[in-house]
Amino acid sequence: MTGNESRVKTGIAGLDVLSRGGFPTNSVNLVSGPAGSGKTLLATQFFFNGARDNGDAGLYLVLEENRENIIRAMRHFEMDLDGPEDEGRLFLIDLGEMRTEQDRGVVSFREIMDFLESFIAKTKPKRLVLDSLPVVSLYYRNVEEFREELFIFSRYLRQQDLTTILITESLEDQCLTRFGVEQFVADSFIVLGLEDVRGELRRTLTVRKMRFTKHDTAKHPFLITPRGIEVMSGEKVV
Amino acid sequence: MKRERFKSTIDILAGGHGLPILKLLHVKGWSIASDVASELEIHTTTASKYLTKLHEVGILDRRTRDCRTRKAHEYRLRSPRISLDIDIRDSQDDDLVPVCEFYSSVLFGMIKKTEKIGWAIIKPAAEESLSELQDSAEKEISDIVAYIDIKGGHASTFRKLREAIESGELQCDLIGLKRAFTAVFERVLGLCSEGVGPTTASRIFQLALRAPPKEASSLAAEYGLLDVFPEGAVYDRKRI
Repeated sequence: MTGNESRVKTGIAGLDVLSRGGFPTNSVNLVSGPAGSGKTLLATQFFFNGARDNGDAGLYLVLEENRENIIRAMRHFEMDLDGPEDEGRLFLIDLGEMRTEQDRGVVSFREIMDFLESFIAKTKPKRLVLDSLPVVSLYYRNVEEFREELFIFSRYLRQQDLTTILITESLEDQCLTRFGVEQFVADSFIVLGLEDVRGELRRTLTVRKMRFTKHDTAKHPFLITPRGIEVMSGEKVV
Repeated sequence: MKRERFKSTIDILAGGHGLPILKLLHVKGWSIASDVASELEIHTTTASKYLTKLHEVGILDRRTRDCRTRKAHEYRLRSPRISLDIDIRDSQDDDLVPVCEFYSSVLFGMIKKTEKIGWAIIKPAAEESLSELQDSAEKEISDIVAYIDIKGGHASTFRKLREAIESGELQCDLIGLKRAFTAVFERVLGLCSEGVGPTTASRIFQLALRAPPKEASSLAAEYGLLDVFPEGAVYDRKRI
């Protein structure tokens, strides 16, 4: 554990405070949460802010939502892709477009690696988002096979010069991740929550794991504002 | 294959040096006439005559090489397997338009799909690459490639090809079309593979094969139009 670890800032208010400056460079980071908890928003901010604040090229791989929906949602939070896409800094790639009625799943990890091999060489992204793992899991027959391939995939990602967010989902009031294995292969694990407090939903964020660095482990409330996620790093949910 | 071209192909292959030249090129790769002549101990003019004819019937690829004193043509075998087919009907010319429709719709289906997944530079890259192809390819190919309008898309390309064929402005046969589109698909699939990886490119290709109308697809089966696609590009030929 070192304080000198180089970091990739998410640019999300409060989150970089909890992680002492951002994700460790070239790490694989898992974000999990139930539907509507803000996973995609967090990932799009990481993707967009990198180009805006640091000039980092970024790649966002969509497997479930379609490209248009993500672009629309990003615009809602003052993230306009037109300029950075035209300049070749940000790439929002919709691999779900390749889905056919015969496909068991959209794509496998091997196919994504094949894609990345070419794409990284061509565009040199510094940030990668994969949205989301449960769609890739449809390709595999069982959790063991999925875990094995996810392990190979994570190892491949660490060998690249990029920092990654993998999105997974959790079912409300059940496991922290869809398959209960994703967090073991990732370097960090951020859990987003939606809690019912006297009839209202409260959003929470917890950094449950972060290798190579100290980090805050408390559960913090966060807000979704017109500028995106703002984590209240000074407040804790007890 | 038109009967005239079939006859020319048979004639040149049946000539005494046809097959030995092909076997030699299979082993040696790109070679000029004098290399072939010296290996087979024949006159350079004879080797040159055979190479030219084998190229004209589509069995050999040709490119130009700068030699010390002049430019020379180099040849190589296009494929180690040569298949000949002849249609005994009077003419296949009536089918050229639907064949163009097939190729054009697959080509633009592929470009459209690639753009849709987010690899937007495929269009300008394809435009540039086909422009280079038009400048460098032999006349039979460049004449056809000239009608491919990447910006205008399938509708514009198909209209231009159809009008050119119907008016007689474009003189080509089925073999010529296949050769031209072989070159086009090699380039576009290559670009796509470089950008999004060979597996994704192949999947995009497979999806694009669903773009053509049924009648055009049935011609694809009848005339072996799918042979133009680079090996490995088409997963599921049974769909056609």
